[in-house]
Amino acid sequence: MKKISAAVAIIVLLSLLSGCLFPSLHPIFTDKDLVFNKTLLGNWIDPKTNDRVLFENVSPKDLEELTPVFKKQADKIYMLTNKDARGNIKSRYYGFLVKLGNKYYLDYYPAETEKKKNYDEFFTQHFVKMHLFYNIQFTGNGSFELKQFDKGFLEELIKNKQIRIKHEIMDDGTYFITASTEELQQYILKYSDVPKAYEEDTITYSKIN
Amino acid sequence: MSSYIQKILVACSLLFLQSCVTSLHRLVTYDKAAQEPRVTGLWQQEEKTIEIQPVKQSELANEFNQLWNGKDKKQLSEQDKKDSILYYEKSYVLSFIKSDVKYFMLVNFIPLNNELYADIYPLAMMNTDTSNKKEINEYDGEFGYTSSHTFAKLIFAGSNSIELRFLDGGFIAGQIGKGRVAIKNEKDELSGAILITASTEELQRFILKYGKDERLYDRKNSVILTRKA
Repeated sequence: MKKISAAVAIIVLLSLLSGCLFPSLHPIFTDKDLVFNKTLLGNWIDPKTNDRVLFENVSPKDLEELTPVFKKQADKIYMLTNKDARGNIKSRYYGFLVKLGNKYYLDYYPAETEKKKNYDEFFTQHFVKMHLFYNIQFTGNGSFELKQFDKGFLEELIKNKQIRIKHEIMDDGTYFITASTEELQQYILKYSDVPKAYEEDTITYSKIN
Repeated sequence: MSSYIQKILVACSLLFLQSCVTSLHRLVTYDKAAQEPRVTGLWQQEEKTIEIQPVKQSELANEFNQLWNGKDKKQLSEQDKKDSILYYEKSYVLSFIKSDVKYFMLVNFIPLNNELYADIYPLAMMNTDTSNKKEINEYDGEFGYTSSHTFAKLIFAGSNSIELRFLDGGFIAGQIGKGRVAIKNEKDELSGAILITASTEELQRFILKYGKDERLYDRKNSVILTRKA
């Protein structure tokens, strides 16, 4: 019951968001910002954790979860499957490669897994899908690096009234970002070169095949 | 884009709306939360056996209790005191098992318009398989999810049946689209789902204003609980 304890504590804090993650209700892209890089297709490994991620073209079946507007972008949507070191599927996401300014970003949006489809629908409909986004840098040696935006940095900007970005304040004082795509892009373009805007840890993936 | 195509796209996107609308904020405040002994017990809903217990009597009681009563009460802040009333004194745990997974949800009740409303929120899910008994965390924040609330009006038929009439997401979205209802919301463009982002106070005002309109409730997807014990 150790984890339930944590869940209960979290309920009281009214925040199921991880402290440092920067999830957003809206995506960081419009259709004109999407690009597709074939180099990403295939299996990748994070040598630190042995976690693997498979980038594939999205399948027609996976597209059924999306609205018709996004189905039109099928040729620019990746399906990402994260697996642990033992090969168990941890999570699946729609992946959107986005070019803003002269930098590239990956927008992750949760997708169903076979396991999730078996969970009770009434329970799972209480979970809202959010976008997680990363700066992605191709390092040229069969690897790429992901840097996640730091929520704490954004929260400080909001608290200090250094930025105006649409959000909701939860009961525990944390922020739930509801900014539009346009606002998110303005934020990214303004702070993309600020090291503190990102989490310290960088995830590096190397190509397996 | 022609208006014809726009209409088709709007119609198609409406198909993706969940029937049951969810809210970022809760409906119930500590000062208006109600205790409702009629809901406690074992209930049957189609194939599911559902147990509803006051938090204090549930298997999560210790988990909740230690958050407040483990502390010196004198040291509790005003907010802690309010939280302990809402989440410990006046909360219920709804649990059920389905396909070897046990689900826990937190339920609060509030009287509005002389009706009783439930605010339902997911707590945790656990494998019941003794060889693999652990919490399932696939909906944690790190995987790109956040928890939300659903609201239902309770209709009691004697002491052995309760109907939960959930707010109808399709109807509310339609009314928002037509400008007939003003309630703060956000639409997820990828899935088409509506998330109500109105504050707790706004939510209560919304129910007070529109709660008597039966079109607000999704009667086709009402949940009927029949008492087992």
